[in-house]
Amino acid sequence: MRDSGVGKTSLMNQYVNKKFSSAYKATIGADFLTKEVMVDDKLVTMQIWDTAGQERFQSLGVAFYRGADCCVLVYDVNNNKSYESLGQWHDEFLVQASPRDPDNFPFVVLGNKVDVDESKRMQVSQKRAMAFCQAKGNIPYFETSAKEAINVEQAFQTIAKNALQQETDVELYSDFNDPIRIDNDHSNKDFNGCAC
Amino acid sequence: MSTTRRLSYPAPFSRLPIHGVSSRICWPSWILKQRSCRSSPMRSSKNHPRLGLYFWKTATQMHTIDLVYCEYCKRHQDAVTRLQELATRQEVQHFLQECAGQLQGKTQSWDLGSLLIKPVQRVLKYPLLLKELMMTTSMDHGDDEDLVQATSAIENVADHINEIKRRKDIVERIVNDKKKGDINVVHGLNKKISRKAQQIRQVAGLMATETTQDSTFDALYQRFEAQQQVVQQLIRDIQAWVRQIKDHFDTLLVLATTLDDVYGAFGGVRVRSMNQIKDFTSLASTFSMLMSRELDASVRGYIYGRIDDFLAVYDNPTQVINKRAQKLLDYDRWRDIKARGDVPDKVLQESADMYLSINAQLAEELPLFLDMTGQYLHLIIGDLARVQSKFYQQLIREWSKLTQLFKHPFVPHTSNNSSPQAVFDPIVMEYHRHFDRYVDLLVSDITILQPVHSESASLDDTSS
Repeated sequence: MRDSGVGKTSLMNQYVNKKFSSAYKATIGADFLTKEVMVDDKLVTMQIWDTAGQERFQSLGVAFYRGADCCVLVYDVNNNKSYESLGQWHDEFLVQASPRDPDNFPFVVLGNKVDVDESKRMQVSQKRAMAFCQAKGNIPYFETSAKEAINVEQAFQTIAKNALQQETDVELYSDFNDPIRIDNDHSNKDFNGCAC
Repeated sequence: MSTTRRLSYPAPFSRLPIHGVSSRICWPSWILKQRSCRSSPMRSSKNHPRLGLYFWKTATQMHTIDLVYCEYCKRHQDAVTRLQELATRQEVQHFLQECAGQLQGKTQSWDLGSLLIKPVQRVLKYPLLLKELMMTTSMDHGDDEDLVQATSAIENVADHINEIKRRKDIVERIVNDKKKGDINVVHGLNKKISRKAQQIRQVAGLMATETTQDSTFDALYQRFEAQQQVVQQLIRDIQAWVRQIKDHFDTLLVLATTLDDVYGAFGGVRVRSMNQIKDFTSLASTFSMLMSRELDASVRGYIYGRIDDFLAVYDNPTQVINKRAQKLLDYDRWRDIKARGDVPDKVLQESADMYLSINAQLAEELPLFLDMTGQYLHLIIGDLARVQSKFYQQLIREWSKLTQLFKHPFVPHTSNNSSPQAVFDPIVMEYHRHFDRYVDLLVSDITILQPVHSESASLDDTSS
């Protein structure tokens, strides 16, 4: 898939390190980042996995998706093709990760690069993106800019919240608890940032 | 308190499937040193090191990446599953927590599971890295061509690793599906019918293409079957051996009771002889009651159970082999359709692809499997040898005890540690001495034998 370059790594970097670099760099150092975040007065640690580079390699992706608490789909609002493949990534994630309750698994869709000059951008209208999210079971949708730090904080806050909700739900039915991930008031979460 | 204190591994960790692999995976240090180069495009070939050259010209480097990451990615999921199992144990939890404590601030990952995924992520970053190097290197740079080749080579490696993982997943799905049972009956029936039809077409020679033959697989399959047959024969041989031993014990007991009867019926036999017969009878019944039961128990416990376990390891490969045979029919049908210039439907296409995957996986894994089952069989044979030697040693001990009791009055000064041979030889000599003394006299009294006797005696004289 030619969907790399939509800004997954930049979004992560903006959120975690408050930094943005305009030069496109394939991520070699940070395979994942962690950040502590407050959700409903609770301090949780969120781990965000970057899928950069594995878009083409389905069989290796499985290892990635399994055990995720939330999947973030990112597309470039200036690139229609990256939007077109959203549905494919959405379905692929569900197949590969095979979550317990696929209908209610939390996704978040981010339309990135809204900072690009108004005249050149918006190949993908907000309306279409929102319709897609609605059709897939009310996926929260944000238009973001990693460069200008627009909506990044809000988007990740929602991601954290939904992921935490997901993990709590899973534990209700789960026969076994994952012993490492939870301590009393300092819970951990993990996420996959998924390419789109 | 020292923070550099070494952590000791709990025992189960030495058996993680990827133990020892991860330490070999790291970024070559020179890459990290050269990362600063990326900020400015590389132009002069003189002042910059030639990374493409390093990657590409040293084919071993590429081969090593392929080998190490293939092994790792293949086993990653197994390792994660095993880790989850282990993490339910308290001592492992403590160990992991201790590790996590020491790693605080040193890594972005918070647990071992997160660290385990890193190499899987990492190998797919090589193509990105090289592509980026390629983009920032001008065409006239001396490194450009090598970089182009290195990029394509590393992409092949990534494709290969992905393919290996895909094949492994297919095979695992076959093995796991079989356990769950075939749910879709109609679908299964349809497939069965079209495969049966394919078989008939092949037998009747109605095909445009030849039936696929794979001599590599056939040879492996022959070994696969032969190994199982050898083991089944081994079971039969062991059963026969045990039966023979028991028969022998039974015969011995019959002999002992008969002797007992004979001696009892004669009466007036010396008490000592009678006791010896009793000892012999009790030995024979020890054999046929106690020892034969012990032999049964140890053969059952050490051998049969192990052979059953051994044969069970053939189950999963057998399922995959059966699946291959089914998919092979689809594959041949697919080839036939292609040869006639038609387009096979999607399901058949997938089936044909699956055949290729399964076949490749079997060709790769069966030799390893057969080598390991060979070693496994050696262990079982070792166990069998131990059972047999223990049994025969006990048999000798019991017989020796009896012969010790049988020390004959004619045998002077037999020490306790003399061998059975040393005990019996004097008995035999004594017997001959008596035979010569008494029986010779008796024989010479029988007139009809006289000529023969003297003849043989004279013959003896001349020969001497």
